[in-house]
Amino acid sequence: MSSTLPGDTSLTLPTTLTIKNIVAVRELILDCLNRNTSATLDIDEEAQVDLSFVQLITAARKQAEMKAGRILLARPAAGDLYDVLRRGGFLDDMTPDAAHFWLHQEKN
Amino acid sequence: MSNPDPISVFRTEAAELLEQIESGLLDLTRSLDDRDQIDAVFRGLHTLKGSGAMFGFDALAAFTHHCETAFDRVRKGDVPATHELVSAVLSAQDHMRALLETPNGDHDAMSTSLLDNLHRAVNGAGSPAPVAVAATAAAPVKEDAGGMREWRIRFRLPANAMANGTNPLGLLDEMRDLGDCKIVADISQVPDLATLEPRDMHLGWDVALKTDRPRADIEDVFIFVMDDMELEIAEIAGEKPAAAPKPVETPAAKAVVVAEREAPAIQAANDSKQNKSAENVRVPAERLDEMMDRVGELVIAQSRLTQLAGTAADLGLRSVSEEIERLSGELRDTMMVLRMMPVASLFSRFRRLVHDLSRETGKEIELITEGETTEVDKTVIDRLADPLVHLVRNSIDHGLEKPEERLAAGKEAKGQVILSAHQTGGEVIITIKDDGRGINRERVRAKAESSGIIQPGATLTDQDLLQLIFQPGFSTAQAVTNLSGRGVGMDVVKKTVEALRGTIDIVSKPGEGSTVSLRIPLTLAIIEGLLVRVGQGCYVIPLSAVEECLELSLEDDLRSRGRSFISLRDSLVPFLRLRELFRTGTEPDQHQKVVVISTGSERVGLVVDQIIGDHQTVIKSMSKLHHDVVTFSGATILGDGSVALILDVTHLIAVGQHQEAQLRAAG
Repeated sequence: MSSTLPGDTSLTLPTTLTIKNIVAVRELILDCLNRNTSATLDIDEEAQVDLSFVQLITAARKQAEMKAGRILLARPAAGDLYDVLRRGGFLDDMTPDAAHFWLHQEKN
Repeated sequence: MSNPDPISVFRTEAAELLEQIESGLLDLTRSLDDRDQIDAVFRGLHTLKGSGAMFGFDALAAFTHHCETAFDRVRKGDVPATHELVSAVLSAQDHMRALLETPNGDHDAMSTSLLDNLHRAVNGAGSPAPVAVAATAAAPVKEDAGGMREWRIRFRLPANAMANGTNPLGLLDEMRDLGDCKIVADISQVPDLATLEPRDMHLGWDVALKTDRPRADIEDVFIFVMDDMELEIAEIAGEKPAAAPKPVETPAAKAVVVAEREAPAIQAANDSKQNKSAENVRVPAERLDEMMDRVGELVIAQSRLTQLAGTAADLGLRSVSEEIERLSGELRDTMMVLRMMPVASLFSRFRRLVHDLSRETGKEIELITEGETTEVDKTVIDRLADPLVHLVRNSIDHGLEKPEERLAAGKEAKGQVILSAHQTGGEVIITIKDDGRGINRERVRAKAESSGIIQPGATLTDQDLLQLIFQPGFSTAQAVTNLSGRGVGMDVVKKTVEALRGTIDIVSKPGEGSTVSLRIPLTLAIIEGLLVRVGQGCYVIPLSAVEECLELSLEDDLRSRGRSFISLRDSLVPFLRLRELFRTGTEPDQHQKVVVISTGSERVGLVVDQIIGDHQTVIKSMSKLHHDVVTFSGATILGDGSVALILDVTHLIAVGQHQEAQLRAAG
């Protein structure tokens, strides 16, 4: 994890982001958000992802919004993450906000 | 305190799952077309496979996958459930236990053999019975003969779905396979990160599906999670709207109908169920044992405090002592309750045993269990398992006749074994009763005489004769079978029961069957005792065995010398002078007491110098050095720190009865 400025940080996540270690990943992100208002998550394209991680990121976005901060992805969802989003019904009827967050699509 | 190891939690839960699968399979043997049981077994196999894979039990997951696939054919109605098939799955389920216990063991050959067996059973099951076809296929086809229809499906999985190995993405993929599908995740109930329990499922889904498949196929997607989930399936529009769908009368369909009408109520019920499960905490048995030890030490310390306070003039100390006595008593009672388990957990294993023995012996057997909610200390349950297995095996092997023999004797072809439990006072009575041929007295006598256990022609009461079967090395079986001839005799059963401070009785009527009764104390850790003094030493007699206390005057004592009997309401009861038995070398008190103790119908009096009173007795085992001391079953620590030995009631009664027999024989 490398911090840039107070209130804005980049967090590199592990390459396993599944229910097996989701508790630890939650602690990692929560700790980061407690110390910074905004964070950019760096998720490896090869990372193993399941639905628990997508749920976790959804919760993290709500957390950041409550603190008037925000969470970003370092790059558009790809690999396993994209696949889980597609299969999990997150890409159908996407809100502009969600499309911007997950896929870095420009908001109209 | 460390968090429980997830692997060991999985093992525990998988063991419970296997028990449920076994129970479902055994229920299925009684009603082979029971769709509920078929679905329940299938769900169990599926969950075991999923969670096994999640926790790295790959061999278990792979093997279970094959069984699940085979059983799926039964679920879909491709093949009927048969006794052979159920037995094959039961054998496979035993193997799953082995794969769970030793995941790295060499199981390949056994796995292959069992799967071959299972496939043979599936392929040999033939076509499904017409009823099964009607139940599974005909109704939905009729219902959905109209072509494409549009459905709106909303669902939320139970909170523990992901932790239990359910993959929601798999469910969604299955929905897509049904037709043209738009799936939208509902994130409205996902909390913020600070309050999120990340392993729980907070997501929901809203699905619009256009399909020509019947409603039952949609329900099938959720078959494994149907019990605990929220599900709404509603038809939006159809090409033939006039043909209103008739709900299929399956449990799943009923659940859906209910879900459509009473979704809020189901949600409340689900909440209640989840709350209920949250109220239960799984605690390792050894922690309960540790806690029991601590409570035992507390009771001893409290006893010492009470004694000290009794001799002190400090009223404040006395008051605190009484308060601590009350609290420690309540803590002890609470602890006792924590250790209690229903005997259902003990009885349930016999369903499988009886099923297997029925197949092995060709005997038709009905197992009836009664009083399964009766609760006993966990240790008692653990230790009773083997003796009960032996007794049930004996009943089936030696007691029950073959069907043709029973019919010839005017009985039902199917024999009965009744396992029952009930509580009386501080004891639980477990009986094993069969309606078989009963014990053959002539054979028992012949065997006892040839083994030198009794003299030829010895005069014995019927009860004494029956008790011979508990002698070491006794067996009337013509040949050793793998059922009851497993090297464990009835003598071992009796010893085990007596080690639990219990007794065993047998009643048998020729041609009508036998009943074996075990009387076992509810708990082994702390008992109510009667503290007595003999010479200079204190001893504890378990209060549950005490019938009454009498005074034995010096004159009566002298008058009864050489006879050692007291007259008690028109019956003679033998008595033992503990002062002589323990060789105290002291003179008897002026006012000795006789404590009459009993086990079942046998009684004996114990002559003591003084009855001190009741005593909360924390039982401490005797050391290995004293393993051959049979008069005492344990020891306890008194309030002043001294040790009191606990009398072994069963042994003393046997000594008394022996003494009586000798005196009777001497005329």
